[in-house]
Amino acid sequence: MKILEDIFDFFASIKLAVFVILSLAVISAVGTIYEARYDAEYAQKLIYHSPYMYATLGLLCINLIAVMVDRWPWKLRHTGFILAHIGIIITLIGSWVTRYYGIDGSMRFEVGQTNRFVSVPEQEMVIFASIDGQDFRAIHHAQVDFLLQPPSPRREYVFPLGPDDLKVLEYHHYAVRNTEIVPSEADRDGLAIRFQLINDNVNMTDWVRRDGRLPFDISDLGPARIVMSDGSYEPSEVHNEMIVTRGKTDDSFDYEIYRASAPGQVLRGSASAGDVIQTGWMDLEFRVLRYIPRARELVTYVPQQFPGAFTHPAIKVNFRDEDHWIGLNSILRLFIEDKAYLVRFSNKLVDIGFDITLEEFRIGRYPGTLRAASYESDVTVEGIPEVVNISMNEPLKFRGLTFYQASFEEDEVGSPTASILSVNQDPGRWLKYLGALLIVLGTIFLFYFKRFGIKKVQRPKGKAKNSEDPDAAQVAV
Amino acid sequence: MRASRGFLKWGILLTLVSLLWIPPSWANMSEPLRRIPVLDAGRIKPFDTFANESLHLLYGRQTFKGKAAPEIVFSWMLVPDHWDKIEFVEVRHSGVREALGLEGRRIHYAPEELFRNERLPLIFTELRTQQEQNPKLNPYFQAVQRLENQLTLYQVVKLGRFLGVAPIPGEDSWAWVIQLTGDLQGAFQRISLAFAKAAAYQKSPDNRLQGEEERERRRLYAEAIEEMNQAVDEFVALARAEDPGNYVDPRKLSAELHYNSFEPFMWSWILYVAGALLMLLGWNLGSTKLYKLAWAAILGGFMLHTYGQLLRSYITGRPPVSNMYETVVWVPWGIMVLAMIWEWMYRNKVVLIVGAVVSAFSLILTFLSPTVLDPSLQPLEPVLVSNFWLITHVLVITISYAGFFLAFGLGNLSLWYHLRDEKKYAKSIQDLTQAMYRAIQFGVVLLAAGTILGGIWADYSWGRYWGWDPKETWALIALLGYLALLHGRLVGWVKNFGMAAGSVLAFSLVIMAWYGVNFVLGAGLHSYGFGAGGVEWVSGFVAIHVLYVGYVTAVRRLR
Repeated sequence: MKILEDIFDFFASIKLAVFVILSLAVISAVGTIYEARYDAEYAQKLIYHSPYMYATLGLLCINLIAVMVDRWPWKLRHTGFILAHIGIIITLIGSWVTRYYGIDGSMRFEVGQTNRFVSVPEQEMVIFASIDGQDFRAIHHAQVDFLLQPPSPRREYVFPLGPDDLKVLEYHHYAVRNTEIVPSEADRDGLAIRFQLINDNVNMTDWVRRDGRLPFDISDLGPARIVMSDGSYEPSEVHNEMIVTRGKTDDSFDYEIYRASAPGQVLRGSASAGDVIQTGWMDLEFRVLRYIPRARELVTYVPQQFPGAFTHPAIKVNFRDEDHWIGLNSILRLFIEDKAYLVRFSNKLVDIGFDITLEEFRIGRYPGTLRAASYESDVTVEGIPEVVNISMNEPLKFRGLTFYQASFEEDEVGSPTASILSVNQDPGRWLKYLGALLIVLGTIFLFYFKRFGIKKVQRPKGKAKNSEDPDAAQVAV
Repeated sequence: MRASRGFLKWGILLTLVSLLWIPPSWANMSEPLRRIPVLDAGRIKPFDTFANESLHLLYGRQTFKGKAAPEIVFSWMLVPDHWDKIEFVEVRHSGVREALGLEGRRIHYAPEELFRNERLPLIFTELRTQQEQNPKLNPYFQAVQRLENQLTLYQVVKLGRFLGVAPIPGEDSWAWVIQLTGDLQGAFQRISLAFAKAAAYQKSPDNRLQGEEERERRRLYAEAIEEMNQAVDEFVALARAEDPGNYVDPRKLSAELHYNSFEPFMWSWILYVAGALLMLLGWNLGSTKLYKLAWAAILGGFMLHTYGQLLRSYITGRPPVSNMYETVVWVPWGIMVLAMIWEWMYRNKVVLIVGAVVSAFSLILTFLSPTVLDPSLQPLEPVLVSNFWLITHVLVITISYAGFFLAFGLGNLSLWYHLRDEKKYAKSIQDLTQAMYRAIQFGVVLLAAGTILGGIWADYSWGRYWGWDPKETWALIALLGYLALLHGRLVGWVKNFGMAAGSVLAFSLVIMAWYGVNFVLGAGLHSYGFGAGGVEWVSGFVAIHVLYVGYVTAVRRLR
């Protein structure tokens, strides 16, 4: 069995150890470059959790076990070497347990909001269907990993919706959202106007539109409001208001203008693109730049090569020969004849089994600056009678889960709008801690107590002195 | 033991002498102003610190034509029209000068000249756009950003609309100079009046006086300074009375003034260099006296080094390892501990000399690049505030860097011996290798332990033991590099030359983990330590050492 012995010697060799150590270093270094160029998720999926990283770690374990077997029977002087090597193996097992049985996600709360779902990094696609437009049921539920397995001619993602198919065409990890208001054929889509509102002090240009799902849509512009209606809206009589409905022909609309300063009086008329309406609100002129009787919002994503402040993962899907874009954590609505579908592309949501409500969120700042010095959330948790405070370095531990104060969102003036907790369950934690302890103890033994070990095994003293370097001879294990 | 008592005596004496030798501070207009407490960037500090930092930002130095910063910055408020015309705003980046169409080879420009520049708003708008797209700015936009900071700071300071000088009861922020009312306003005006009087009687080339007139000028000048002192005392007492609980601790204030004027780290590197030279000399001459003197100098430097860090910790109320500057000061302290212990145990002078040289080098770096290694005392990011594991993991990791840095220095020397004559210096090379081996072992144990402690901290604060954050990943890569070296040594692939070359090369990994992650990669959770610049110098430093190793390897091959 010479060949088996040779194979064993190879796996137990320090040559392999040095090769593995250097490979790990190189792979990790490449990973950090990817992280700097792209982002953490990208680097983790493509490098740190890649098959070749796992293969190298597997080789490391084999090497560590083989070299320990090779030294059998162990002697006292092997203490450090055994401890350190077992420690590495235990740490790796602990990491594996964490990866496959742990939860590492986040929960977002606005003040007063209740949530029971943890958003984890994995992605999923869920399609809901409804006949009456009210009661939706999930008809497809698929876990996807488009970053590693993007749609391609060889790997198709097809979801049958009745006689038609919804097909995922493209995935872009970095894409910027772009919305546009375009004319549509469907009668249920509401009207839209692009306008300019102008007087000596005000000059604004914007779109107003009625979403097809609602009978009317109110846009509050500050001094006045514009109501895009299907005819069902009743004037409030207290606001400056313009109520807009579709006109008799497709290129004009009807309007009614109410003034808070002159109750009971109505200005009626119809207008089309290019017209100017004198509103009578503080001399404001309403200029019609464009009118679309049936309009919808077209969302597209522009793919980018690198991440930026506004990039977001997005997919392009095709349904009945029409392309649609869906950004991560958003929903696409599809209406056909008698049915409605909701297509959700999102991070996977894990139900933790109990409700959490954010009662209050506070930011402490360094005196005289906007720099945050601390932040904390007060939450009520189903199953805990009193209000719980979660702050930096003071997490909440409950039912095997740990909730950490991770970050917050704030508006332009710096008042907080939402708190983000990171939620974590780590069954591998104690294995990793035990492994770490063994590694450190082992290394200390290895480097600093070897003399003790050498005396015990009665190594001839003169030998070390004659060799080129005493340390090299002594450390040999 | 007797010899060591000698060093100790010398060391203590030297430290005392340097402590007592406070730089000359005859009456000048800056002195009274220095001790006015102000609130700036989230911290209460003496006006001295604020003025030094502001003048440094605007002008690039802490004095202007021989005058100290407090005097200069205070006068921005009093005579803004004068300063608007003085060419003192530093625009070092030639690209920015070009973009603004500024002529000539000047580096300093008058604020007026810059404010009137038509292209100024354009490049600031460009900066905004750039920042929105990518928060990591290239050197040109960093320079634009600096110019914007310079002009904004100057503008708000001269209008008195920035600097908080008196607490407002029940509020976090302090009242600006312009917001002062009643007695406080009166007291501040008295400071300004006395300052103006002092300025009028100050010695200048314009009023060269003789005899009696000169004596009279001096008397009036001293009188004005005294008036300033009184007005400052009065103002400080009134400001304290506004909200005593939120005002400054006078002991911390004077500690900071002392720290600003004393510069302990400068004295400590000077003593290290002196010690290294003396030891080298004593070694060549075989003089025990010089050897003792060298030890005394090094010990004195070490005590000042310790004293400076204690002062910083006292002022900020935290261990001095929370930004790049502080670690570049802290690591050489660790090197000195290691080198001194090694010399003590093995009487190996070379190690102490190398240690002192490497430490002095590291300290000198902080003086050469104050923009990259920002020495200002800053408050902490929320995640870093008072946390036992945080402090422990950073202290442990940076001390491991000390081991690697020392091994790097020793490796360089060993390579030089290899280059000269391997046979002749066989004993020295052997001793160096032994010391390198120990220093690396020390580093490996602490880097492993520190990285693991970092994991425990991350688990404790974020619930993630290991997250492939670039800083921790590079710490791991450095650890793997040294482990490969030690394992190679185990089987005899790596001999004395290999150890020397390995110590020098593997230190590049430490530089990447220590500096490169923050300044080259610029990503990840450890971003609190980020700054800019110096990449070309650090890359050059690494490249030179790679070439050096390559050269020595080639020479040995050809021999």
